[in-house]
Amino acid sequence: MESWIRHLRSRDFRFLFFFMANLFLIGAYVGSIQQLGPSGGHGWRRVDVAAVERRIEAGELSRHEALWYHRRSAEHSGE
Amino acid sequence: MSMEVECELCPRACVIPEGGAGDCRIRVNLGGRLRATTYGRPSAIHIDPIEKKPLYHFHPAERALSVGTAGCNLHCLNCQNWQLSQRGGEEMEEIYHAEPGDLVKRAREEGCGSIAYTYSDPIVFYEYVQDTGEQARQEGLHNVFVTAGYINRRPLRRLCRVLDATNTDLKAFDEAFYRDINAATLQPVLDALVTFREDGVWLEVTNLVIPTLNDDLAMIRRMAQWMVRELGEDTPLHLSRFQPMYRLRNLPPTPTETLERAREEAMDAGLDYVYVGNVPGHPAASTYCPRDGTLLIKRVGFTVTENHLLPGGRCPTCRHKIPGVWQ
Repeated sequence: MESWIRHLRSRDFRFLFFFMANLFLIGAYVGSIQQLGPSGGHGWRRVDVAAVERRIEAGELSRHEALWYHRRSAEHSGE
Repeated sequence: MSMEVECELCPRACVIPEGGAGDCRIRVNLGGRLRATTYGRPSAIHIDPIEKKPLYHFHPAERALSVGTAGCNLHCLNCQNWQLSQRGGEEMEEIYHAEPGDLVKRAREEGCGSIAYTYSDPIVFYEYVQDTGEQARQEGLHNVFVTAGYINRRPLRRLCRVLDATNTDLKAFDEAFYRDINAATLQPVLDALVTFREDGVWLEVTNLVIPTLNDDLAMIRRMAQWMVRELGEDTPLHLSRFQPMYRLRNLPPTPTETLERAREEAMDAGLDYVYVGNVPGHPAASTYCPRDGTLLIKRVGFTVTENHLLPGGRCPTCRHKIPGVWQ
């Protein structure tokens, strides 16, 4: 092992850097996908609220109130 | 005062903080109120033959104004409409402005007898379906609901008041399949099927047969047996061929022989009307009398080429009453 490290050349370090950078980018991408998923097991998703509001203001989406929901009390929300 | 809301529409029961959306992506909490953001804002409007839904025992050859918005409360790996269903409204390039009255007017102008709520799952644009459905009924139009059935019972029963027919997917008779392939659960779908039946909505069931995932003949037999027991042997079942799609491109299309064997299993279990779907020209896309085998309705693709049913939906040779809504 030690002899292997002693014989590393600059091109090997460049390869190692490239390899580690790829691992980092893959990890960051996977992490960002997970942030889009449900939070705390309750199934909701993050959305680009600013984009939603813009499109509502432009008439492309609606502010129509949904049926079949209720507001959570402060007790349920852990406040 | 909490700004969180809890959605009661489907079994996911999303608890949504202010500025968030339900799992379906399109029911958004704005200022502590849940907004159905795609109400009146479809991203798909087409005119389809009713056979495409597929509905084979409901007003044959009728034209259906078919409409769908972004979003869905399932996440099927093989979704054929994923570019619509797996996106929020704010992500869509094309959004039409069509209030309920506009849809009804367009359906009349185009000579359609039905409005079909489809493409994504109309459960997520529930309010739009309900309001359009009420107006459509007043104008003598039918309401057709094409769904995966993942909805709570109370909202479904309310919606059934305006529905005339449904094609509901029964994706597999297996909890693990629903968990792994659709990110859902089986029991609410079975409950929805029973609710449609109890509430008098004409029901046809589709099972998309996917090689290696849900093509087990024993499971198909159990599914058919459940249908006979809970829905009745006269409930049409469509066994549809899978095509590689979205995140299931690694699997082959369903062999025709698999569909034919599945059909035999389902009919041996007692179902009278079992169709093979998505195989153009297959004889099992046509309707036959379960008593004497008479060809009643011949279909090539989605086109009805022959209809021999007598008025009232009876077989021309033995007068057996064929279940369906024929007028």
